Amino acid sequence: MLAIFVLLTGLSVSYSVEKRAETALFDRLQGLVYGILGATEIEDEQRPVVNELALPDTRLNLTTSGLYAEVIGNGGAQLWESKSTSTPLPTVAYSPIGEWIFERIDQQENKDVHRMQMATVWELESGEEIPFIVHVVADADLLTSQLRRFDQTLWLSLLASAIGLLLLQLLILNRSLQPLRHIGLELDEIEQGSREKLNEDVPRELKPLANSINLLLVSEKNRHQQYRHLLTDLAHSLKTPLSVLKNLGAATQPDKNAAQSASKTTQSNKIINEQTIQMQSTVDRYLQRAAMRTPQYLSKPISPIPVINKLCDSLVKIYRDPEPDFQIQIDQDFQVRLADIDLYEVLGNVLDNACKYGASSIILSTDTNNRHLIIDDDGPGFPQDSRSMLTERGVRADLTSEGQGQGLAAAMQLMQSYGGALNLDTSPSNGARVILEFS
Amino acid sequence: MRALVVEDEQTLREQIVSTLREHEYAIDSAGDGDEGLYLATTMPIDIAIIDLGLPGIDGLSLIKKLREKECSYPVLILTARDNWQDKVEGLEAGADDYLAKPFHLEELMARVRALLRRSGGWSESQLHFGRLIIDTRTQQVSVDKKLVELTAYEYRVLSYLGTHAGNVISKAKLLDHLYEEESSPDPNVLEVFIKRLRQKLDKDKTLKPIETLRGRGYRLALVREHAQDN
Repeated sequence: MLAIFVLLTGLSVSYSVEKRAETALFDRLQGLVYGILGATEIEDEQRPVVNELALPDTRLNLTTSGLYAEVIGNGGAQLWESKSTSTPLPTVAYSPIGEWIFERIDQQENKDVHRMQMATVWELESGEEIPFIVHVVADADLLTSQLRRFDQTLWLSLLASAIGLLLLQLLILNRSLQPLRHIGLELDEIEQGSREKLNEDVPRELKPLANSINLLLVSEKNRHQQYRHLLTDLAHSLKTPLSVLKNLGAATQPDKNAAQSASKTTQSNKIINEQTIQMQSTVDRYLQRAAMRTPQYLSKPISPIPVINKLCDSLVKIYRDPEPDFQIQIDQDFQVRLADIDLYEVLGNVLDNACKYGASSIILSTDTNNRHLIIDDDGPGFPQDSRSMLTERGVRADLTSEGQGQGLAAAMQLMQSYGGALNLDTSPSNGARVILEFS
Repeated sequence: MRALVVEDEQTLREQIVSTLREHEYAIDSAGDGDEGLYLATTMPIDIAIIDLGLPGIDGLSLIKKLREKECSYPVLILTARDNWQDKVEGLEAGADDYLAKPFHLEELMARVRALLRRSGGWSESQLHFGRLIIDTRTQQVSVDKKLVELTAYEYRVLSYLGTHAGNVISKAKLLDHLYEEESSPDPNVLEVFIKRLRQKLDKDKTLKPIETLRGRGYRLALVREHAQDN
């Protein structure tokens, strides 16, 4: 835009100056023609003679001065030429009496010139008229070089101004965009979880933007929490009646005295039980799937140690035979980016699985370089041939404890939803090893 | 044993109460947190089953309050919010175990028995006292590996004394823990049950399972053992 502006300005100024210079040259040459006419007398009442001492410009008397003149008589005969003339001047163009001709003539062999000519008549006292043409020629070099110098100066100054303007514009732009860049960096930090909201100490013009983004973040966080609360309320409202149905199906006894009725009741109980299990499974699956969609930017990096401590205290309370011994060897600087509730879910399911299957010693350690949290136990371990199946929903290693076999699969799905992974291996004591790989 | 059930869903509460009664528990029940807290702090409860989502005082606050009032009996929480954060919160508040809804009543009974055994310092479902064995899961009692037929009330008395073996239990306390308020019998009836228990368990008068401490109560006098084969 700036370049177009500079180009148009330069062209327009250059054109105006050129026109102005040509007008000035026209005036000057016209003055010279009048001056030559003033210095012209009629000799013997026959032919015009120019008094060279009375010429208006001394250059007309200097050889190759660049300014030339001649007087052409009737029939094209040269009646006078200035002393400055060394080469033939361009042929005059015949024109009506009193008419001016001003033009630039581009010559191939000689220099380009500007010429001014006027046809006039000298009326003698006898009434006789003597027609002649005053022809003035000036080298175009002078004007061209002046215009070229002007153009150079013009374009250089315009270029300098443009560069100056450009730098100024960049500086202003840089200054004015700095708060926006800062906001951009802060948004990156929010996305990475190292910041909760935008700094509101910004220029007045950006305050509404920062306030709106912060409001949006808060409302998004609240909306997400509200969403989770609604889900848990939904779970509560569905699971309590499910308990009733489940136990109704199991508790109703057939009438011993009526075989047919007993058969029908047993069939009904079976259907109630099947449908209850199916409803429970559907509710669990969809609730978990819905709850899993926590946006990354709402989860800031947290240390897993407090969560692990609480879970271990709880599990020690639940499992007494054998009472699990937890050894926590977690790097103090190790942090993970999971929402609290999801971290509880992943670690709770993995640790509960270890306790449920009889582990008495459970070691939690970290591989900080690879961002791994490793849980080793001394239980029976995972069956070699069914490790991949264990992380599929509903599959259990054995049926020694209650539960629905969804723990490891749920933990794995949660890890995957955060860009991580859950892998199964064998611990050094030939028990189970669960490796949580955090992104 | 006396159990407190606090559950706002009436049908589920009735199912739980009915199942517990079938297993010879004396029951106190409430449909909201306020009544639950009153019963939990005034009745001689052996175990409490508390739903977390209650009207009035919520389940977590109820557990915290009863722990603040030094009620030390085991508490089993029932929760539909089966995520680990909620479970940990419940256990931190003072509960001893949790059961996620929906559940089978058999599972509930297994948890109740396990908690009661644990509170009495037992890890097995069978309580071994030398020749006398009380199976809290099947509610069967045997002496010298021979089953002894007991009535429901006789079993209640024996299992309570068994889970509190070595402790002197007063008549009043025994009645409080075994009978619901409206059906509480005369203390003399208890003496009859004790007498019949002694006759059934100790036909040859060599076992002497129940000791009477005059003016103080009764005590299971047998030495407690760990199970050999469970």
